[in-house]
Amino acid sequence: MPVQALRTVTAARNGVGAFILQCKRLDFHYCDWAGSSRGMNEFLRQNLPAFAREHPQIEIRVAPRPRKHPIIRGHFVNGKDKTICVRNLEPSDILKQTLLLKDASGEKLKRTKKPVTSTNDSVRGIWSPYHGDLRGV
Amino acid sequence: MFSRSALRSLAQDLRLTTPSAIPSAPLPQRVFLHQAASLRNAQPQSSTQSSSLNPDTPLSATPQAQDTQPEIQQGFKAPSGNPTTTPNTPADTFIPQTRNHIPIEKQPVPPTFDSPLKVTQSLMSRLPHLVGQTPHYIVAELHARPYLLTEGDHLRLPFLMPKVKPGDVLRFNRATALGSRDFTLKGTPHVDERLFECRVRVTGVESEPLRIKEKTKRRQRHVKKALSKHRYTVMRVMDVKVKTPDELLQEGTQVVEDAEDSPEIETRA
Amino acid sequence: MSFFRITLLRSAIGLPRRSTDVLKALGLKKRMGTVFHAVSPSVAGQIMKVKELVSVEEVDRRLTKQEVHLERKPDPGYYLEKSCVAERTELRGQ
Repeated sequence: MPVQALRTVTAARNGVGAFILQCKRLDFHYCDWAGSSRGMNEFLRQNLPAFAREHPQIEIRVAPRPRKHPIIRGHFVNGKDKTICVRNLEPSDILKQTLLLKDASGEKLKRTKKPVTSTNDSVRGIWSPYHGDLRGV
Repeated sequence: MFSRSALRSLAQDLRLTTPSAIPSAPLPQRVFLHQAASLRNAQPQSSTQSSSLNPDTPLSATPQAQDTQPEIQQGFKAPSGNPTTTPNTPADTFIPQTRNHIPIEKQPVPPTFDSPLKVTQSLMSRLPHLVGQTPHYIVAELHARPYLLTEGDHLRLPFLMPKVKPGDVLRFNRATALGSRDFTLKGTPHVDERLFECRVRVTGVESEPLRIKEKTKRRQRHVKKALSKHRYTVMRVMDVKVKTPDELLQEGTQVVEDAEDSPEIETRA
Repeated sequence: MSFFRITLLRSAIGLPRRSTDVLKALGLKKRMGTVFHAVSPSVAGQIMKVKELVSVEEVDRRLTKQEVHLERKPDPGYYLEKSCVAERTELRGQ
């Protein structure tokens, strides 16, 4: 076994033991007057209660935002937030955007090439030229 | 045109070179093929047409087709009424027709085992070495793509996994290798899923930044922009565990003699 | 009744027009495409014309398109052990 130094910092590994949904709060802003909020107002009346009941771990705030387009803002555990403008959208489309914010991690979008990222030490150890048997050249 | 004897020899050659219909198919499917062969009247029309259209059909083929078919045809026609539809076969001889007909073993559902796991004597004797050495890694296969995983790893699949939600716990049950620092259990080609436990937790869905590919054609000012923004399922490996011999024996595993293609634990040189 | 299971392994590009026509007559349009034909002298002759391009097996019946596809489909390699809803109700019960 390799010698392991004492770890001073524990890395957050959400989901290994307990799992915390990364989206902690969703703000829904609407306008009573503007036509671009028509779908949003309907969504707030019809779809939002069921969504809130299914996801008790998310805090939901509904607030007016007069004379502006309707938006959904998601606040995440890592301190960041994401905003989606839902002007002129149907309630079903607004539900899709809400689910997108619910599933998101709050991180900035990145393009990755490798599927697995690991903070663990290599299981098989690091290769060394001075150990092991000699291979014929 | 071939002479009849030459054709017969050709058919015999083909029969010799290809002993089974699908060599790579799993065992239950092979059984199912044989059963289907006994009830072969799925295309009664086409066979009669071909025999009438081809007067040159070999003698060995025609009598078979004629003496077996009429009785079975009637037997199946009577209940179904419509000869063009396939007969109502029982569940085990079901013939998949459309994209939705996927057998249960190709769907992500928990497996059911009808026979206890059989482990060879040598594997059982060397398993404690592998179990005793931590940490472990696993080469798990998802849709035939391998992922090398250890506990606590962050896995971003190259696709959006259907019908899973954040917080769900998945079990990975196809592994080609399981190992620790000095020992590796290699599958032939897969390790039996009852030998290990690999759990992952779905943590969410990520997406890539919007990609814009500009498509141009020569001598034209028009530029077509193709947009793509794929979504990926993100998960975290909860545990990678090799079961101990005691646990295996508790679950009713049978210890058998060594065989040719049994999985083996290899020690690092 | 047995059938030829014919798979086009190599394309007929660059070959005489006859070869292309024979493949068309067999119903083979692109590489790795599979067709089933009842065993008959005419089909055997067609296969002989393009024997360098195709692989032939003898099977008992015509497989459906989905069956041919399922032979190549790999296992998913995962299954849902516990959904988040089930886990939440479990935790609430404790």
